[in-house]
Amino acid sequence: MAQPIENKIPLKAFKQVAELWGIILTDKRLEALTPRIQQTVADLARLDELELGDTEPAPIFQMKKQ
Amino acid sequence: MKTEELCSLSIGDLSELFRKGEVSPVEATQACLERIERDDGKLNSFITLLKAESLESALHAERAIRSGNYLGPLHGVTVGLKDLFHTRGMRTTGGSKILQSFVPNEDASVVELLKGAGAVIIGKLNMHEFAYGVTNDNPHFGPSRNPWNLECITGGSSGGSCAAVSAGLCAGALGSDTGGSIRIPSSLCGVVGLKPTYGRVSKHGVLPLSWSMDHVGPIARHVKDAALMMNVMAGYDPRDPASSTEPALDFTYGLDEGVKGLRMGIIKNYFFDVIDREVKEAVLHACKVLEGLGADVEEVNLPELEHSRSISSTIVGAEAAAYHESNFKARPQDYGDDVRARLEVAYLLRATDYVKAQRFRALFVEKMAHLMKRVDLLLTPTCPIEAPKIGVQRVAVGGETQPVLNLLLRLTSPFNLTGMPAISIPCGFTSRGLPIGLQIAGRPFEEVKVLKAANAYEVHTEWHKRRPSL
Repeated sequence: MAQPIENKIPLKAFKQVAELWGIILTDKRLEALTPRIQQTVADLARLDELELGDTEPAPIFQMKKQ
Repeated sequence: MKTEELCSLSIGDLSELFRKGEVSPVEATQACLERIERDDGKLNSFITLLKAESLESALHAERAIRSGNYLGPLHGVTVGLKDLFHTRGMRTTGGSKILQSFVPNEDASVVELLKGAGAVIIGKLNMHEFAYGVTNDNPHFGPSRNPWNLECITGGSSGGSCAAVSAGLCAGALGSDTGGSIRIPSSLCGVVGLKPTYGRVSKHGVLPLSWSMDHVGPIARHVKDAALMMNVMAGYDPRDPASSTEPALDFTYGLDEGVKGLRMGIIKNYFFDVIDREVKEAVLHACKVLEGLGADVEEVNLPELEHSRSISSTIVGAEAAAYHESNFKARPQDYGDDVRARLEVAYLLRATDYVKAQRFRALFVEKMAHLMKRVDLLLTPTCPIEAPKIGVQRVAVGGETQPVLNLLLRLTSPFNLTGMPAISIPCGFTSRGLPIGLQIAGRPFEEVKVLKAANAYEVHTEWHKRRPSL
């Protein structure tokens, strides 16, 4: 059985979040996803390291005269 | 002219022969169709072949050119489309089971432009499912295979496009690039692939992966051919909210002027620290070649690059999950394993993660713009490794094994974050005979400089002349 990752995102909680979205994850499926989840958690942890100050998000689309 | 010769000509040479009436577009299209019949069973680069349609279109081009209505360098030239460009009346699968019967009722804007320029659309090309991956190991249509070694991946997600161009099944192709999907397979298949500036080429009618990271660009065997294709493809499109109003120039302008005086930067802290030895040597040698041609090459540094992969995967994950939400809830079993897993994990992302990633992106763009005041162009490897074998998930580099996905996206995705133009051109081969790519990136809307440097390298080296034998 997969263990919680860094005590940060327990897989059980992830499973529940997925269910809220209508995605049913079996324990087997969850175990298969664990390496990817670990990678994502590591990516998110790296986001926490960033000093962003007052930086606003990059705009996705260009503004155009209406 | 023999099939062999017709299938290896550049777009520039082919169009000259068409214009002079020395070769007919029908003859050239037939040669490509023969080549496809002979080789595509091995390559699996096409999802849908448009045999009758392409011959009809070639005949139309032949008659038009004969009657004095020559439309320009793409008139009568065969072009393949990655199977995510909408084609009116012709299925557009996105390499997926979900859309296997989807038939759009209009062409993507860029397809309209190509047809308007007289290009012969020869077929729809294999790709990584929904462009969400870089191996092109497609579970629904089979893997596309690298023309240099059929056991190896083409790279993706525009893998079918690059394999087809490399093997001479068409003269050029269209790809899309969200984290490197034009440049990665171009590098691994030994062709030229340009990701233009974000917004330079319309995305209207192109199946999205990640709206804020998707780019459309040309794939060809020669730098000049990519420039000729850009002359048709680029321009403002009111139907694409991200389309730029920046005027499209002649992308061939000054192509032969050389690189004397151009300032080029090499970022060693990120682009050369996780890399295969042979790839590193080939790319550094390519930098020396450019220096020898008169470029001012210097080492520069950008520490923020270390975060770029995490940021890219967060943005792409969130946007892809949003786009696929309804299909994914209704038919998760119809997605391939890897794409399904990526989407499932994307639901781990919170809204604040996405916003934070977009905030970092703004900061990263600013830092990169500051760096680009010092140099005109950046020189990097396109991929840190050669093409792995199909099915291989992890590769050892520098004594450590890493996922193929991470390695292949590592060096290309920073330029999707910044929206800068970046090209991959052949710059060598590994001892196993697999191509190596040099990536050249420039300031936004300075494709001409990128193309000029790429062309200078191509003209003074022989790598682009090697073609795979199947």
